[in-house]
Amino acid sequence: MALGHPEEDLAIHPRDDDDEVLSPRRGRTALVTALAVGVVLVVLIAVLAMSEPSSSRLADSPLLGRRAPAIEGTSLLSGERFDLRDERGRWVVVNFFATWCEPCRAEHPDLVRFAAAHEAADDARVVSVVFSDQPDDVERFFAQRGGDWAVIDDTTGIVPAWGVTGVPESYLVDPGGVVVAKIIGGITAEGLEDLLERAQGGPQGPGS
Amino acid sequence: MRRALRIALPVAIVVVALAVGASGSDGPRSDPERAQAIAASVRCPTCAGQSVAASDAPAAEQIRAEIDRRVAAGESDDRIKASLVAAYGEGILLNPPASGVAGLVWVLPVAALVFAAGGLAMAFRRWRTVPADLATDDDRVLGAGQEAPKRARLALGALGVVAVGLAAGVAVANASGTRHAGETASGEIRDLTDDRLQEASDLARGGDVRGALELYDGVLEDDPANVEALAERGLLLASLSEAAELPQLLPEGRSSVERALEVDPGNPRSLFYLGLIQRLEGDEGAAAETLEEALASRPPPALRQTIERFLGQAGTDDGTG
Amino acid sequence: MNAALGTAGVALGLAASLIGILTLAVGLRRKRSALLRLGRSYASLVLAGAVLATVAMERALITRDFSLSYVASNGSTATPALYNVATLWAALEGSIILWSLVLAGFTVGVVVKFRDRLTDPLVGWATLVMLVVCAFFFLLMAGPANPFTTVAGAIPTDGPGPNPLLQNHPLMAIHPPMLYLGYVGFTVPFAFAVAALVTGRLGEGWLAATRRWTLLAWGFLTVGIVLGAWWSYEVLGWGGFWAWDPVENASFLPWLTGTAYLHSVMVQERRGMLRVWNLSLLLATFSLTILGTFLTRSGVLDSVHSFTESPIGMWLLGAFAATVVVTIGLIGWRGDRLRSPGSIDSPVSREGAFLLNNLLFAAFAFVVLLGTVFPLVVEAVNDERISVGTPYFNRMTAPIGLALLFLMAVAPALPWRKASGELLWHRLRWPMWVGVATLVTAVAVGARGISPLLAFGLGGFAAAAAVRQLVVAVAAARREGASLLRAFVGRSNGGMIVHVGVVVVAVAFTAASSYTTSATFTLTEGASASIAGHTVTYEGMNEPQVSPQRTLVSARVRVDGGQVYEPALNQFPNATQTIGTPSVRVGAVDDVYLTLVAVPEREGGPIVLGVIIEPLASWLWVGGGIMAAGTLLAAWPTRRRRPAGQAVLPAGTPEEAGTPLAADDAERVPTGVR
Repeated sequence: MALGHPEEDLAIHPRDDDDEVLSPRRGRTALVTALAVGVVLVVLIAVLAMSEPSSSRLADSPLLGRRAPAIEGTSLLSGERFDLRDERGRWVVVNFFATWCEPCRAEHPDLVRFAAAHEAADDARVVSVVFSDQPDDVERFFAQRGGDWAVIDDTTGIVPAWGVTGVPESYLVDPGGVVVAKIIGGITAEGLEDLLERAQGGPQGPGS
Repeated sequence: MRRALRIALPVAIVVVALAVGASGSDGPRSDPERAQAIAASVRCPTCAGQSVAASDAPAAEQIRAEIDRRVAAGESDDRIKASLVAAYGEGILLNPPASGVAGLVWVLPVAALVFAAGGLAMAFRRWRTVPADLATDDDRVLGAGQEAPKRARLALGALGVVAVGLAAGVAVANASGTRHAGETASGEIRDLTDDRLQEASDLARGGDVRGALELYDGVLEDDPANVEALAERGLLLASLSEAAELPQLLPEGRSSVERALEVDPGNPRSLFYLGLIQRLEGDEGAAAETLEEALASRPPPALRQTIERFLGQAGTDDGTG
Repeated sequence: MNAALGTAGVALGLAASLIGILTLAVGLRRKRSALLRLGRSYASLVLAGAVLATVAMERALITRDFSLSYVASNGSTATPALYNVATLWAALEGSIILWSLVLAGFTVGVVVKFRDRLTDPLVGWATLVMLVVCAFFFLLMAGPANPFTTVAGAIPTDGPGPNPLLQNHPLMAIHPPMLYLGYVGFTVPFAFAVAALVTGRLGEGWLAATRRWTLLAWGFLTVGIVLGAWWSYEVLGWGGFWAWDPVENASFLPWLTGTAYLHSVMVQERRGMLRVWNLSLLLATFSLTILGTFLTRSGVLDSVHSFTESPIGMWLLGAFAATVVVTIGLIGWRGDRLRSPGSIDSPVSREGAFLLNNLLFAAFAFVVLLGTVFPLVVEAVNDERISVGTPYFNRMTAPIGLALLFLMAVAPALPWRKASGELLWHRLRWPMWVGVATLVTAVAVGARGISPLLAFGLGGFAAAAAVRQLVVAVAAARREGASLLRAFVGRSNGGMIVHVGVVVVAVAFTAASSYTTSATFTLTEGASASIAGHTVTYEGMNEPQVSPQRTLVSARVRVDGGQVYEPALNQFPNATQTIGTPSVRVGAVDDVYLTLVAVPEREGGPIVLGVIIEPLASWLWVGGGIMAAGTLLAAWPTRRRRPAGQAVLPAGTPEEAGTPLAADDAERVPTGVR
């Protein structure tokens, strides 16, 4: 903003009796305070300018690099007990889903393909955990769309233990039982293979 | 006398009323109240700054259910919050932490308030001593310059205010901020349950039975109903009694596994362990029965194979099954 | 057609404000009175542009002109008329139109009010600053937040309508405009503050000129905030009204600094002190409205109320940065030469109380600001994600709130300069006993906890002190022959009524947030449940109401054997989420807040009903109303005691002395060294 010459301006209009002329500078308190506040605000502005929108700051999970939380329960499809700890020695894709969730339906064929591709070698499995849904609907969902892996209904707090915020969400657990990746949103079979390959090549390589 | 009384009477009434009011406020809370209080301090991860108590989003419902479960299991508030932090990160708690950079959020306002109040108090002192009429700042600065002791006293006062401000800020932070998960008053950092369980199982596999037992004991101290710790601890005690020839450990191992079965009755792994212990005790019949029961409770395939193997041995020994 | 009309309006507003700025700058620089007088015409043109843009958008919304992207993505044929009009401020671009309209209105208000003084550099500079702010908002509409872009390709035949939460309650139609009137209103005192700094004229003249504007802006902001809380309560379905959400904080921050200003400005008027501080408060208030606008519209913070993220964030941040640089620069440049001498004799005096008041309000604002932006700071510093939520804000602000209540009780009784113990005792005796009685009553009816009890006791004390002041002042005015209504008018009386309103809000807030009881019941038809002395009976479901814009399922619930309330669940066709509509039995003692958690899965099955009992909740809105009424009385023009036609800027005139703050301390103290 351009600042004019105020002293000149004063001549245009008679001042109010009440209005003050500039007095000689008294100390530097205002200047110093203003500068200090200014510095703080500049830092604040810099922080605000660098902040990304909250929606793109989806948390990478604190679970990464840690032992996978327990998944234990009876599969809704086969009626067999499942315990994630017994899956050590192979990769596990833990998929959180619900039948009412559109992207979950969209990703399901890819999960089926991924599971089928690894069935022979048995080097990777899929386990699904139901998120806020009815068991009947889930059984129907799998009957219609295929897939015969363990499907666990969450009655013991699996969802909060994994830090799941919504569906679909998937995690990759390595053969040592450590969580190595979290995928928010729908997955594709190719994406999973890719991830698996990278995880195998990386420092988190297979334990067996 | 009258003057003293006219102030003393209301003050006395207020003190009595507040004492009565304070006494009733911290009775033992019911479980729902406790769960509600925890839920109100946990952020709903999908819904923009609301607490899970205030949200009907599915994730919030799941977290509420988890809190209810853990409250019902008798876990402490801190433990419940720590478990959520382990899964969701520090940001899941609406109360910011007391330490680290984040702790400044507590310290700064308190310190600033104390600084400002101190400054105001000093200004009042100055106004009282310097006649207003000649009180321009320059005069005061000059006056202060001539009197070095006065200036030193001023500096000392300012220093005191800063110290008090910072101390007050840190005190508020410690009293009100969230301690980091596992952070105890002594400053000892303890690992989270899952990490400790994993480490224990690694130690046990590596042969360090005593180290593993210590970790399981630690887990059970925080969470006396942890099925995995109870069962594994039982099995380790039993195997230790066998290997180190300390027969007195065997009953303790057994009771630990039995406790695990009380918490989660149908758990095939716990049943399997109980069977192994019974076998160590020499009660093959009971062992076989327990192992059958373990098989009947739908163990996962890998465990099933192991149990069948053991049961096969038992079968050949006994000629039953 | 509408797009063309709107774009023309935006272009007109932008051009008029830019040319206006140039004209005024030249006029001020070259001292050309004729140019300065042109400010009025430019302001009117800016308003014409804003009106044109508003009319074009409303016309597009009402005629469902889906060729406009804004209408296509926020309007729908199914939206009822009221919400259709309110869709103007339901999304980002439209809200900027409303903002510009209000801002242009205020600009015209300023040039009309000061029409006789347009050649005064103070007014000239103020008008120029207003036009700069206008230009910025029109620039937003011309560029990054253009509301009049048209749909590319085929024109849709219908749109999704506004966010379901925004078409659930009529309050949505008045809450945002109120808030904007408040936010934008603070531009006027800001403009005068800048003008005063630039011209170096920091007497009390410019203060008097803007006092009423500030008061009105503050009143609108107050009403806007209270209505926002009410909307949350009625719509969001969790029984809460204030969640320390970033957007709520963004509106609360300027309220806090504005409140601090309204108090400390009295010290300047009386004693000529605190000039630079008062200016800083005004500059801070305006800066905070811009910061708030940035926080709510850039998507950097999570909030239930926030608009979708958009590129406009960087523009608003730029505006905030520019405001900060200019204001800090002005204060640094002029501040030390404008500081007033003088001293305060005793901390136990009205001035001392105002200083303490400002200290507390500044601390309050600092806590709220720090808590709001701190997660971003921590993330930038060490990549750690933390949340700062309700527990923090409650913990930090409760002591400040209690201290403010105490000050509210004592300060009005304090005379200027110095207080004697005897005088204080005389004035505070009865209010104090009322406070003690309130505390005892609260304990007797079962209220527990130190902090809420202190709030009730101090609340009673403060309210009684305010009422006492009011009674004394009104009685004095009546003795002088004023009519009953006249006797209540004036800043001091209005202020005391506002105090009563604040106490009502504070007590209701404390009660409703400390003593809420809630439970969830699964009820079969005909079954009852009891909670906190209330009985709710489920009497069956209503037929689902299916309409194009939503399906509404509601349950009939009888409360305490009396009236039937109907909490409902809405399913909107374009949203996956169901949205509950709570139903509230409003009562003087407590509200019974009903939410339908789950509907029967089969015919005749049980429902899940959420019941929340909130003591005194309804008094929040009553308190807000009292505050609004008090503000109106305080801002009401007092009877002119001078012949008309005299200078409109009435510094130091009897009018400004106004009603004496209390009958016995009306002595006008000379202003120290001048």
